[in-house]
Amino acid sequence: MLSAFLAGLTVTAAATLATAACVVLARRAAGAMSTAPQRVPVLGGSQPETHAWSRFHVRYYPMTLLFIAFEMEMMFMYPWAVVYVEEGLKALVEMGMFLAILSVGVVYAWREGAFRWQ
Amino acid sequence: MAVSWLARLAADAPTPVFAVAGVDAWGAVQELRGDPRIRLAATPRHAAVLLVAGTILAGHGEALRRVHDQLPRPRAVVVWRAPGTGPAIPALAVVDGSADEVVSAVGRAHASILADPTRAQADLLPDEEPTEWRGVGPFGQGGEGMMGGTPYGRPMAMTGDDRDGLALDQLHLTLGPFLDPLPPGLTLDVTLQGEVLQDVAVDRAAPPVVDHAAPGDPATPAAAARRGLHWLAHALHVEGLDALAGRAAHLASQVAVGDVAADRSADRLARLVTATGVLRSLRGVGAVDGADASDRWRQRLAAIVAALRDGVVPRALEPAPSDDAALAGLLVGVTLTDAVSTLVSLELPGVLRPAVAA
Repeated sequence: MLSAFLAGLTVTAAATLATAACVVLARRAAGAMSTAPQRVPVLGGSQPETHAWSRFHVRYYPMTLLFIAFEMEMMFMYPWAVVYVEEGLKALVEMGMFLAILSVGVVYAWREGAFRWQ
Repeated sequence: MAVSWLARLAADAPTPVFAVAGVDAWGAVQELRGDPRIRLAATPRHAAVLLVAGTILAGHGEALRRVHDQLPRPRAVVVWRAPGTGPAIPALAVVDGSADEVVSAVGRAHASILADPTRAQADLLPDEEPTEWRGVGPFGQGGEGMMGGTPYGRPMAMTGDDRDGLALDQLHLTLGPFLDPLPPGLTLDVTLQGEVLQDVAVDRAAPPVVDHAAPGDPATPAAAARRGLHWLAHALHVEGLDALAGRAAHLASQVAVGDVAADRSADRLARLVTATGVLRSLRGVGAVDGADASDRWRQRLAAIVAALRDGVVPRALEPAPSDDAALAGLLVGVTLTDAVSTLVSLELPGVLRPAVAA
């Protein structure tokens, strides 16, 4: 138990040391720190009017939702198919419940336009 | 020790250069893409040397100083063919001669600041935030909150209607006058939502009066070909085809010295450009009078080949709308990438007059 703890502590210490070494070396290689004009985006000599914190639409979002919905289904279905014969009706009901919950996600993705190909 | 070893390695690599060019030296700067001793960087952040070439308008002094300060330290400035009327900028070297001379000067300037960083050029603008923000506000973020706040001294973007009925943030930006993909002297005032331009205002700087640059159509086939190749080198770079951009630039310098084998190289280059699929990717982009960016690229490629192989001065490309509002109308509603591709493909009167005699 103690040896496992020591091993963990050693790895943590080594990782901290390596990170610190990287930071120090990077600062030495980079020279001086950045100035205020260097911290703004490159716009070809112009100043930004608004801050870069802005929200924009992740347009692949409904597609991702759909992908995750079907992937989770398959991840559960493979082990379920293995134990289905042993478990019988109980497994069938469990899968029914799972698919019902999942279909809510799919219906939501449908409403969001995930099936509307553009 | 480690740092000096890195400095030696950096000095042996091609010098990363960010070029700020006036309209009279823009073509000559594009020709530098063919020189293996330097690499023209897309942003000042990736460069060690700032090359200020040709006539910079007096009104662009502030922008020039900002670009200068955005180069990481240690930095050097090389001034090339400056008429002495533009904004003054301290330089490590001033060159008035050929492309070869300026490339050598850039290499020497880079080596000297790496060997002795105290020779590097200091910042021109003060290291001050535009407004005081540290510790201001309930979370120290510089403002009052998310909506309507001013984090880091700049107001937050506010929402506007998007194309699909969502209300998302609109970003107001001024691009230029020294943005690498844009033609020299062009400034775009844009409202971006995501990647789509919702509103555009175009500002074309008045072309400076230069005695050695003849505006209008070039008079000889070689001059026409060279001008076309300057455009091609820049356009290929903007489309991400830097190796071919280097070939086009090299070909332009061959034409300049009257190399007789240039016509075959032009043919091969045009075939390679077509083979990359860039013309296909530009189909339907920026249509003006029924011709899209792909058609304009094709016309320009054909003009270069015709000028070099058949020795004819090609008919000038149909110029883009001379009216700023009409040009801005072309860009509204398209993505930023397509807008840049459109601008690059157009013949913009009052903006892009690459020097024939450069």
